[in-house]
Amino acid sequence: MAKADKKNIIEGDIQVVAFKLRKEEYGFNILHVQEIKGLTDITRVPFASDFIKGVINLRGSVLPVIDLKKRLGLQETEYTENTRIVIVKVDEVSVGMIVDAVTEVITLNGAHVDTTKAVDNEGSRFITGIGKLNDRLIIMLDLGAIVGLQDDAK
Amino acid sequence: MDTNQYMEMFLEESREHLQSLNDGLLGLESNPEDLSILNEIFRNAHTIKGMSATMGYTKIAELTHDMENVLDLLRKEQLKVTEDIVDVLFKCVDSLEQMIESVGGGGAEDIVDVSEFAAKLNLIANGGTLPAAAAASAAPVAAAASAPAAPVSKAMALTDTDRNVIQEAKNSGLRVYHITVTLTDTCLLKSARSYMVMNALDELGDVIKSVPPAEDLEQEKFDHSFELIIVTDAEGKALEDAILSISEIAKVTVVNLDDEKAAPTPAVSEAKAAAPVSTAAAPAPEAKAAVVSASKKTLVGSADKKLKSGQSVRVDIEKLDSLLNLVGELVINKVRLEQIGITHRLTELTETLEQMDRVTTDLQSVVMKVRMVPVGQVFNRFPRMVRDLAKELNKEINLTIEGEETELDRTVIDEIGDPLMHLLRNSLDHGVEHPDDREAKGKPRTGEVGLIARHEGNNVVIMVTDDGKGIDADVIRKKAVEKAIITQEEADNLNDAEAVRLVFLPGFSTAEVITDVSGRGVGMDVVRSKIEALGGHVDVETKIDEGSIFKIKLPLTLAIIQALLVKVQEEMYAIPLGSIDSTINITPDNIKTVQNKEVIVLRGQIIPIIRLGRLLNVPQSADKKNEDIFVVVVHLGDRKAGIVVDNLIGQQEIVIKTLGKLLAGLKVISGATVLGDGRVALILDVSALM
Repeated sequence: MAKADKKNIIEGDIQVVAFKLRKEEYGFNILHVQEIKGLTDITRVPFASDFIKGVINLRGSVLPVIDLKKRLGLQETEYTENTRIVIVKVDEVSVGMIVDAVTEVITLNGAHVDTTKAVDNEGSRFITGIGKLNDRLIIMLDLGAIVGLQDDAK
Repeated sequence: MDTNQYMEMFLEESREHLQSLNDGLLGLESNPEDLSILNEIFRNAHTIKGMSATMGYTKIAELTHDMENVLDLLRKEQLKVTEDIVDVLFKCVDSLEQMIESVGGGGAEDIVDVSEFAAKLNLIANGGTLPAAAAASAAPVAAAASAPAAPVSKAMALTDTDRNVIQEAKNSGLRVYHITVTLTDTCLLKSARSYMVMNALDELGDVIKSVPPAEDLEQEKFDHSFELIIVTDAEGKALEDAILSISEIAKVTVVNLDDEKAAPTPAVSEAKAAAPVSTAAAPAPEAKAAVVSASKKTLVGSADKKLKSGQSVRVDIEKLDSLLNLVGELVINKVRLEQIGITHRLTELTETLEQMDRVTTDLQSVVMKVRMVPVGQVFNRFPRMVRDLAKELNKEINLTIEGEETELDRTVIDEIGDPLMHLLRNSLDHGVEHPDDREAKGKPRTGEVGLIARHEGNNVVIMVTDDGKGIDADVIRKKAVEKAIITQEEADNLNDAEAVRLVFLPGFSTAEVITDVSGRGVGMDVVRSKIEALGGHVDVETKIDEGSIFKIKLPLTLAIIQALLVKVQEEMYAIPLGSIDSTINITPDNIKTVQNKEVIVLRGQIIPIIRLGRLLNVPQSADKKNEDIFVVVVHLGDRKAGIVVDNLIGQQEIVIKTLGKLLAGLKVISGATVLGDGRVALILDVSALM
């Protein structure tokens, strides 16, 4: 999954759902995004990993939701009326991601995505590259690593 | 013909026939003289041959054909059933299974080298027969070898029963015709046309056989022509006219079997059905007809069977799943409406909902019933396994199966096979002793192993029993301490029954010698976790030198259950009603402590209590003091525990949803459900609480 993402980034244009976490702008490849919905009741799940905020009801199915800021090691903030849950599908699993606000869908040219690691910190293993659009920087995220089904789901 | 679309059907039916072949051979092993079993086996092999030839799998067809030759000699009693023959046949069935699975997976059919078996079969066939008979069996080989190439001309083999019926019909003055119907090339609704032909003929007489069989005709599993045999008092011309009156029929050939009988050479004169296969040059397998009229089976049985199978429908399990999901949604919304009715005191709505409630309840139970499958589907693969294993282990085992008609949800059936297989292997390997040891103990040489299913309340209980050496609690204690699963002190505190239960803990294997049969130390705990994942429970009872009973208790259905909703602070949880004993209301001073553990005394019984809020780390918002405490008393087997909650909300039907891969393997939580107000409540796993 991670590999496929990187490849997409290098070749041609990609469409990205851009959203905000605190002051920074991040993006998911649109192919993974199923829908975006407002905040609903989240049921806490005891004993789950701390970044899993709980589960929600999406038209009868029960989906886990991840607090993305917590997952990336950013400081948590209160939810506001702009807070959204982005439903993504990775490795056949649907998961909700809580983000501060969804900005827009943008098209990035592969050539403008820098895949070298510019920063090295706790969250950098979730980053596949940094896209440049005019003077905006969009941090592209590796959904496979974030959901963490392979390694640290527990 | 594009065969891809029939692949699924071919696989499914082949598996069924292989299963009955296996069963038949097992039966034959214990009853070598039973002709009806032989006939059944022959029919199965023959059907597989026909299907695989139609699908173009010549290797499978050839092997089954060789098997047929041997089976034919057996049922004509020109050859005696011996262990060797049965063994070879078993091996052939195994190879067939592999080949069929291989083509099912998109692979080649010749993954197994069958030439050895083919040679063996031919040797048996030739060595065991008189020269004359050998010649006779050679003829069908030639005929059938050319047959698979052109599926249309597939030989129409008559079984003994068919021949019997034909004979009887003739005796009572009726006529028997063989009819070949060819549809026009442009015919689109082949199944409809064949249905009309069948209908028309049914009015004139009884169609006793068709190639391909009626089900295949219905499913358009044929090219442009099919063959029928009909018993009637009508004239051949009448039949022909009746069929030709249906449109899109290209050609009809009606042959009176009586006339044919007189015609050909003396050698095949008894082979009444030989002529119909006019497309094939040689008399084909029907040449075997001569001796078989001895068999007393009547047609009625097979005719009934055909009718029944025509009335059932194969449905993709996914469709049933989505149907069940939809019913689940309906139940959720019904509950939501009920709540609205109650909150707003709308009597009219409430009354209507009562009606609707009845309908949804019925609907639900019908859907559940549709998904129910007899456990026999899982059980029937075990006799073969037990036989092979017993041979391998040099033990004498008699397997008794009871209650195979007990029904369970399809999802449970799919999952229950492996744990059962493991328990059976365990009983055979570790439970039942070697025949000599048994004799020394004064037991019969043959060990008794039982596989029993039955209903118990809202549960199904499956038991694996053996009369072997039992499980020694002291050995288990010692092993558990050795493997550092528990401490010596803990071990001393366990009573025997508890000690024996240690076998279900991870990392436990008591076999002194690890065999490939069982005992890799991953066994029993996997069995337990699998059963518990299905919402069930496994327990063991054992007596030294008398045997052991492994008892699996499973819920009837997994999808919709009755549950009690409870509240802890602001969080809502569901406890399955099946594991609830009672709910009680106590005050804080009813709670005593024993060895620093909180307990209550209920009707003289000391019950440990679990404070749910503390266990689940529920965030504390308001501190409540000295109020009444609600305790839900739950049970698991004969153990009990009290769950302390803040509030009881009420009993409700809930639809169980999984938490998905990401949250799989959570302790204490077994799933989730969507409540009437759209919120999600988690379902407590009572067995993990205790």
